[in-house]
Amino acid sequence: MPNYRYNMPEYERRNNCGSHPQAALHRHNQQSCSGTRETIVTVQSSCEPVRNCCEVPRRECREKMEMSCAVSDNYDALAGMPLAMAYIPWQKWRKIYDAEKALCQGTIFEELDKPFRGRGGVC
Amino acid sequence: MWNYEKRLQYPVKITQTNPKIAQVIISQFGGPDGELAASMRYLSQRYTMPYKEVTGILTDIGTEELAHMEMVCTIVHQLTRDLTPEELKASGFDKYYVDHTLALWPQAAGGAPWTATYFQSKGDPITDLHEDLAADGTTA
Amino acid sequence: MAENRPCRRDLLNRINTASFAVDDVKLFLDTHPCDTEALEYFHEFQQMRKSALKEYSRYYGPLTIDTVDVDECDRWNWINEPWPWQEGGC
Repeated sequence: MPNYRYNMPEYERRNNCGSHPQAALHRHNQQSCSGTRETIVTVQSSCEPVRNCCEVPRRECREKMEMSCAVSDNYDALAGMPLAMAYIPWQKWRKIYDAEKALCQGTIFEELDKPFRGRGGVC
Repeated sequence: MWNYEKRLQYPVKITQTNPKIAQVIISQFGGPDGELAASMRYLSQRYTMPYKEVTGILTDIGTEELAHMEMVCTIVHQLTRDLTPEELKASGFDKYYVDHTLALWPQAAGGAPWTATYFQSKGDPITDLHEDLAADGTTA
Repeated sequence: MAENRPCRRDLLNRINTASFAVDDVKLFLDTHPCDTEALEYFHEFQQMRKSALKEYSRYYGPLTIDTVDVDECDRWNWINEPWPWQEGGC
């Protein structure tokens, strides 16, 4: 079953997975690995599909990517944290709307402005 | 304790009645995911929170949810103003009307009365915060 | 009095806007009690809200129990104006 690392484009963005918002590695049929623009071309030729038991099939890149993505087994922002707990990032005071806009949107925090889009419940 | 302000948090001015949609919107008042349930959830949980920050935020959110409840009730009230018997029958709102006329009574759209079973308050802070997350996306 | 009576709707918009800002920053401050930027933001909008409520009460009747002024009026005017869910209410 895919774990959180394969389902969080936001997470990858934060961890500088190149210029692509979503790590291509997470997708079954992607041809290239994500990473910096510079590595994509070279990586393309040396990528081959690797299938591990019980994991989402992913392409393992031989080229060392300048910025490693969440897909690599080495990086985990929650490493060392106790298991079986839910974690919430700590909110910072930033990106405050104008008061009039805030009243319309229902929040003063742009980061918490997540309008309901209907279908599927996902923004 | 609570004070009252004689205004809605956001204005509600409905000019066109619509009992059919009122029947659905009433869930946001007295339904399982409605504002009354939300308010009672937070106001009940706050007594056993071990941190003043959490007690504070549960108190303040619980209070704000009452203000939301007021807006929802206002919406239903304005949608059902001065309805004729024909309109009541045609919209299906007659089933509510027979027991409550145009009064506001906390129930879900399907008719289930509001109940404390719509929320949980268990005394363990992590448990209660998970309940809040599941219910509302709200967390301390 | 010959003063310029402020527009009721404008005053109310001011109250709603400032009050909403206070509502939201209040929640943030509950969990971030030492955040100086948030404290300043709170102070700014609390002042705006207080003065708007006072002004509103003077011309259009009180919206809070604290802005009821029994000296100005010789009767209990809390119940006079329409309630929020009514026609003409806030």
